Amino acid sequence: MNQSTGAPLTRPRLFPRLRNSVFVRPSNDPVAVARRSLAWGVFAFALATAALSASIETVLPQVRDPEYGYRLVRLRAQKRAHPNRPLVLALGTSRTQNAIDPEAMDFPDEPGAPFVYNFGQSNIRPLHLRLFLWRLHDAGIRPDAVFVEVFPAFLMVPGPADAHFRDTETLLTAGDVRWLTPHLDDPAVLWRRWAMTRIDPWSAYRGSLLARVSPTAIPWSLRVDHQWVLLNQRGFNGYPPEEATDEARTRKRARMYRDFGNALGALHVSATTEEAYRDLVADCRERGIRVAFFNTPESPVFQSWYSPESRAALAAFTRMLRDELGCPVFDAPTDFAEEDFADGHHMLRTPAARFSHQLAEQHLRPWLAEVLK
Amino acid sequence: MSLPLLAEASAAEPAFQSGFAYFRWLHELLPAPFFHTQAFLAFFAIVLFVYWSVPRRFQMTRVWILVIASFHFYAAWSYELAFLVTGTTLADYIFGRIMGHSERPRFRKLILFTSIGMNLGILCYFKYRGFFLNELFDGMRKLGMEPGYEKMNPLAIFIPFGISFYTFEAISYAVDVYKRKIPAEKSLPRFLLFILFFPHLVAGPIVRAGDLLRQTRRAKRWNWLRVQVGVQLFLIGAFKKMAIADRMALFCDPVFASPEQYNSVAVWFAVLAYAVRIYCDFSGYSDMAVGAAHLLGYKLINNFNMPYLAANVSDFWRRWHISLSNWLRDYIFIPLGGSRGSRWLNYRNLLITMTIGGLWHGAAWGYILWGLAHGLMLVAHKQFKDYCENKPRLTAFLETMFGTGLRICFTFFCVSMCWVLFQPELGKALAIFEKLFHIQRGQVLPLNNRSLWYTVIFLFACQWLVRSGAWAWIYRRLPAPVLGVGYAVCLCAALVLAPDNGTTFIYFQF
Repeated sequence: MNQSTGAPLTRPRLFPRLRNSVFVRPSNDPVAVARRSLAWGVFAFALATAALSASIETVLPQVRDPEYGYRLVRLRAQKRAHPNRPLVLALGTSRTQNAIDPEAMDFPDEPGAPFVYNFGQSNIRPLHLRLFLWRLHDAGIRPDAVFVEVFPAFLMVPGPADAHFRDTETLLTAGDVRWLTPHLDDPAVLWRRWAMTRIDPWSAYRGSLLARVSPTAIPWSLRVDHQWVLLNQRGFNGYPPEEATDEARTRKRARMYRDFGNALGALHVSATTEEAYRDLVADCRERGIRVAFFNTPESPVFQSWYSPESRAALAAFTRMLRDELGCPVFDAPTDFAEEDFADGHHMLRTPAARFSHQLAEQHLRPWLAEVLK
Repeated sequence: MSLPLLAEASAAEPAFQSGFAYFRWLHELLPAPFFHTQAFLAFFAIVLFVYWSVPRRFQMTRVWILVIASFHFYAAWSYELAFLVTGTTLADYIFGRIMGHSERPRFRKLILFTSIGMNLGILCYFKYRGFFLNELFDGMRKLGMEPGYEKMNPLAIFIPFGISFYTFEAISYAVDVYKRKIPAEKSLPRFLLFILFFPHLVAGPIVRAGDLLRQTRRAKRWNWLRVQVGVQLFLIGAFKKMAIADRMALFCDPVFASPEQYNSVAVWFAVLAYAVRIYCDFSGYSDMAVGAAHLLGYKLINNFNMPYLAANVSDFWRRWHISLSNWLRDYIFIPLGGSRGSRWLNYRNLLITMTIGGLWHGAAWGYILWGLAHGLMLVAHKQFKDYCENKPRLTAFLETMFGTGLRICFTFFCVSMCWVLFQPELGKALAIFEKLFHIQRGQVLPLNNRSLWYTVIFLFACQWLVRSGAWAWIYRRLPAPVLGVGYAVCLCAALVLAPDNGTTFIYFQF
C-alpha cells in the first residue's frame, strides 16, 4: 500500500536559499542598474563621511588629535585601574613629555597616594594649556592638582590667538572652537576652516588615518606613530637613546637655536601670555584644582642662549606667579650635562627618570602632601 | 626680437599682479587646471548643471556653454595664454575655411604651410626657444664668442599647459582639411570647442577633428549608462593619480632630484616607482578626462590599454599614449614613407618618428634620447622578429605562457630603463644609470619600500584581472549596491592615500 505524503521530503536547510545568487544582478535593465549604483555610491560616500566626521568629533580623539587622544584614552584606562587615588597631571610642552616620568617618582601604589600622569603636548602655547584643561574637564577628567611647565621661549607669544589656532583646525572639536571664539579676532575664519575638515574628513585626517592603518606607508620624516608607540601607560614619552648620537645632538641643537635662540636672547613676557597664565590659575581655582608651575632642565649650551635681560624677565615672571598668583614654582636643577639631552632641552630617558625622582622628592611630595590633605 | 630679449621674456609662473580683476578672482577660485582638486569639482559641477539645464533642442547653446567654460578653465590659470590659444584657434578656423573654399592646389598648400608654421612657431617660441638659445649659448662659448645674453634655467622656462597637445590637434585639422579627408568646419563655436574642450585641453588625449566635430553636431541626451561610465572612469583616474602616482612620487622624486646621495638599491626602487608613477599619473589624468567628457556626452579616445602588459616595444606603443602614437603614425611616419620601401628606409622612418616624438615631449636632450632609444628598440624588435621567422622552435617557446611572461618582463625592464632618460636634465639621468649599474653606497629610500611592492602587485593584479576577462565577468554580476559602495570606497581610498603634498601632472608640462 502506498503511503501518501503531503509534501516531498527535503533536507532541512541551515540558511534559507536566496532567490538569486548575490552575484547576479536582480535587475537586467542596465539603465536601472546604472542609476541605482550611482545613487548607492552617493549615499554610501555621504554616510561614510558623516560617520567618520561624527566619530572624529566624539569617540575617536586619537584620529583628530593623536597626541591628545592617545593620552586621554590611556588616562581613562589608568583612572579606571586606580579609582581611589588623587589625580595629578603634568601639563606642558614636548619637554614635559620627555622629562616627566611618573613611574620614576615612586609614589606608592595605594589608595590615597597621588597618581601622577604626564599630559604634555608638543608645541603648545599658554592659551593651549587652558584649552586642554577645559577639554579634559569636558571629557570627564577632574584632576585634583596640576603642575604646569613654564617654557620660556613661549612666554613672548603675541596675541590674539588667531595665528596660533588657524592652522590647527583639524585638531579641534566644535566645542573647542566655541571655547576659543572669545579669544579670536576673526572667529569666522576658524569656524570655516573647521567646517571644511568635517565636510571632507578623508583628506583632512589622512595622515592620522594612515598612521593607524599603515604607518609604513608614510615617509620617515612625516611619521607620527611614535607619538603613541613610544608613549607608556603613564603618559611618559621617553626619547629613544639610540637617536641621540653626538652628531645628531649637534645637528638638532643647531635647529633649536634657529627656532629659539633669538627668542631666548631677547625674552619678554607678552600681555597675552600673562593673561593666559592668570586665567589658567583662575580656571583651576574655580574648579578646585591645585596648581603649581615648574621648569624643565636645560643643557649648559641651551642655558647660555639666555641674555642677562632675558633671565631678569624670566625671574620677574616667576615672581609674579609665586607672589601675585600664590602658586609654587619648582625651579629646574642646573646640574644636567649636555649628554643628558637630545637637542639641548629634550631629556633622554635615563636623565628624565633622575629628574622626575628629584622633582618628586624635593617639590611634589611636600606640595601634594599639603594641598591634598 | 633680439636674442637677449627672447631670453629675458621667460617667467616660471604667469604674472597676475597686473591684468583684469575678474581673471585674478578666477585664478583664486581655480588656481590650477587639475581635475582632482575640490576647486575643479565645484567648477565641473556648475558646468554640468548649467549644460544639462539647457533643453536638448538648443544644442548650439550647449556648445557655447562648453566653449565659455573651457575658456574660463584655461583663463583661470593664465588669461593671456587663454586669449592666445583662442586667437590661434580663430586663425586655424579661418585657414580651414579658406582651404575649404579654394580649389587652387598651390594656394591651398600655401595656406596649409601658413597654418602649420603659425602653430609650430608658437610651439617653438614657448617650448623650444630656451633649449635652442642655451645650445647656441654653449656653442658660441665653445667657439670663443660672447653670446650677449644670459643662459636660461631649463627648469624655470614657462611653458603653457598643453601647448603640444592643441598644436598637434590644430595641425591634424589643417592637414585633414587640406587632404579633403574632412570638410572645413563652418561653425565657429564647434571649431572652438574642438580645440578648447576643457577635458582634453591641457594634457590630451589628442583628438581628431573628424571625430570630435562630428560629436558636436549630435544633440546630447542625458544617459545614465554614460554617466555611470563617466563616473567610473573619473574615480579610477583619481585613484590612479592620487593614491598611486602621487604616492610613488614619494619614492622616486627625492632620488631623481639628487641620485648621487642614494645607494644603488634605492635607485633601482626609484626607477621602478617612476615607471609606475608616470603610467598612473598620465593614464589617471586621461581616465579623468575621458570620464569628464562622458559626463558631458562626448567620447574621447581611450589613451591607454595596459601598456606594461605589452609583450614587445611595438605592442607597448600600441598601448601607451595611443592618441600620440596614432598621430605620429598618421602625420609623420606614413608621410615619411612608413613601412614601404627598403628595410633601412623603414628603420630610418622609425628613428625619425620616435625622435620627433621624444622632442615633442620636451626641449631637452633627455627627451630626445628617450625618443631615439625607443626608436632603436623598435628597430631591434623588427630585426628580432625577422630573425625569429626562421626559428619555429624559438617562436613557439616565446608564444608559451612562460615565454610571454618573459617578454612582458623584458619589455617592462627596457621601458623602465628608458624612463630614466625622460627628464629635462641629462646629467641626472646619467648619474642614475651610474648608480644602477655600479653598486654604490648612500642613503636609503625616504620611506619603507613595502608599500611600493604592494602597489606594484596591486597594479599588475588589477591589469591581469581586466586582461583575463575575469573583471568583465565579475562586473556583470555585481548588484547595484555593491557597485555603489565600491565607488564610495574608491573615492575614500583615493582621498586618504593621497600624500599631503600632491604633485602636478607630469604630462601637463608637455
